[in-house]
Amino acid sequence: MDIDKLTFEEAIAKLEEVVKNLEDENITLDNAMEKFELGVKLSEYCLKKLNEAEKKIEELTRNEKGQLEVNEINLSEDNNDI
Amino acid sequence: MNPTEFDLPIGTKIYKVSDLNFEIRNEIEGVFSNIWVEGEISNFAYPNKKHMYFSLVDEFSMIKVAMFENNCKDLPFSIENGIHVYVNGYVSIYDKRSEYQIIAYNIIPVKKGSLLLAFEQLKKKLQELGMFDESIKKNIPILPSKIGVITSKNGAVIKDIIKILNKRYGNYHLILRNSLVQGNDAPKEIIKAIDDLEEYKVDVIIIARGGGSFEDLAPFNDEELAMRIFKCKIPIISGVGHQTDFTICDFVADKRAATPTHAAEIVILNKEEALFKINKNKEKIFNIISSKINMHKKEIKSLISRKIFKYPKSLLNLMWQQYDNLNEDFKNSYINLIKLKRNNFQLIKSKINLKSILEKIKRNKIILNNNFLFLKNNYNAYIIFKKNILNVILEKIDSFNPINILKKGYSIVKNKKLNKTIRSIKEVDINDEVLILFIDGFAESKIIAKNLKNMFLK
Repeated sequence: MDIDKLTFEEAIAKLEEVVKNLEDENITLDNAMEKFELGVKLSEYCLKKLNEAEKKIEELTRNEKGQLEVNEINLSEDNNDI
Repeated sequence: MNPTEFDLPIGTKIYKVSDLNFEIRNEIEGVFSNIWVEGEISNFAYPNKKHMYFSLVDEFSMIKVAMFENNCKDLPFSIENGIHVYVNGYVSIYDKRSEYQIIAYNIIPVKKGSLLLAFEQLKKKLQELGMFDESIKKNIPILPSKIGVITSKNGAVIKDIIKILNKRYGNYHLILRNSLVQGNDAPKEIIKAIDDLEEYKVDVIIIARGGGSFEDLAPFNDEELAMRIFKCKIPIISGVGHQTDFTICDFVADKRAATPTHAAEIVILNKEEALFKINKNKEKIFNIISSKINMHKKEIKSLISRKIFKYPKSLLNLMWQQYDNLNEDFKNSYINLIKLKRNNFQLIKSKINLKSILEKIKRNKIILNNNFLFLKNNYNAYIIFKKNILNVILEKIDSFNPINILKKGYSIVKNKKLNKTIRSIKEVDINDEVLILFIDGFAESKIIAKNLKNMFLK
């Protein structure tokens, strides 16, 4: 499975599936090791995804030529909470 | 500066503010003392169930109305926003704010307010078109990388949304598309905003507006806007007005948020919760695998501690011993069995008298010979008898042989195609090809006529 191509939702769902598989007592050791490896990769991937983006607040407008453009704006004068 | 320079001409009447308001009030109350006004009720308020306050609106204008306790009590129906009424009363001035308003004595409903009626009609129409069906609503991504927001850049709503996003996620990416959210031009602007965000490709769109009257929220009940939301390829969350406000946009959007703030809560997952969940799962995986490995380790340990692995030779020796014992047992019991059989044989042998048996055989031989002779003679006679019967039957059969019949001048007619003997005129049709069989050959012919008359009967 190509983990990098999963969406966050898919990765989370896969991770939960892996946990469920591992919780099955009849799983063979070989299979469990394989799932373990996959589970670790998935959780690392999810954590990476969560921190991937950079905070940005932009405004979408059209310029004189009618082309879309985005410019950073500052609307968050009262956002010092975090 | 000398204040006397600004003194007014003598005799100029100077009003105190309150006097002026008082006079205007008297004037107006005199002119509009008992009037009827038609309009739609909006912004209705009834604090403590004492006095009623609302606006009476038509498509262009509005006027405030107040109705006091004693008159309110006499109303036979309940007042609510959007209903279309005639109001009876007089026009007065609220001195403190110089606001004029109608003081109502009586209210009579005309029919449902046209705006509300239009809302209900549109709602019904779109519902029947299946535009509100849950089954066609798009899923809202839980971790959108770009969040589009359509609202007024200058309103409080965008700030509220940012505040919530800061709390829930922190490193989000928000694309604001500024738009009017009130007035007649709002629907077209919002549609354009959706176009732009769709072209720019965000992962989810929030359409948001703060609370307001039914008229304020009217743009969100626009049919064209509803159609645009329905056709949008990007999932849309509508967060319009307060918890209790429902607009057409809410129904047609992929998700209705009760308020703009709520929309911000729906649009992205709570990072802390997600982190907790992922780490919890990670921990679980590690725990399960380590306990699994420990279990297998124990199993292997206990296997290794078994005798076979520890003293493999001793077990083999034990088995050899068992084999030897079994072998010995087998040998002994075999010898005993043979001994027993031999004894039995001797016993039976001693019981048999050979001479009398030989005599018995001789006697039986003579009887057998006699019987055989008798049987042979009888059998021959029987065969001759059967042969004679057979000859008679063969002669009879010969007389029925079709070849013999053909010799006498008859012929056989066969259907050529089916190769089947024709026994009746009914089995042939005109133009059927038939074979006529003679004793010395055959002819092919075609039926040219057919007659059901029997030539042999008269």
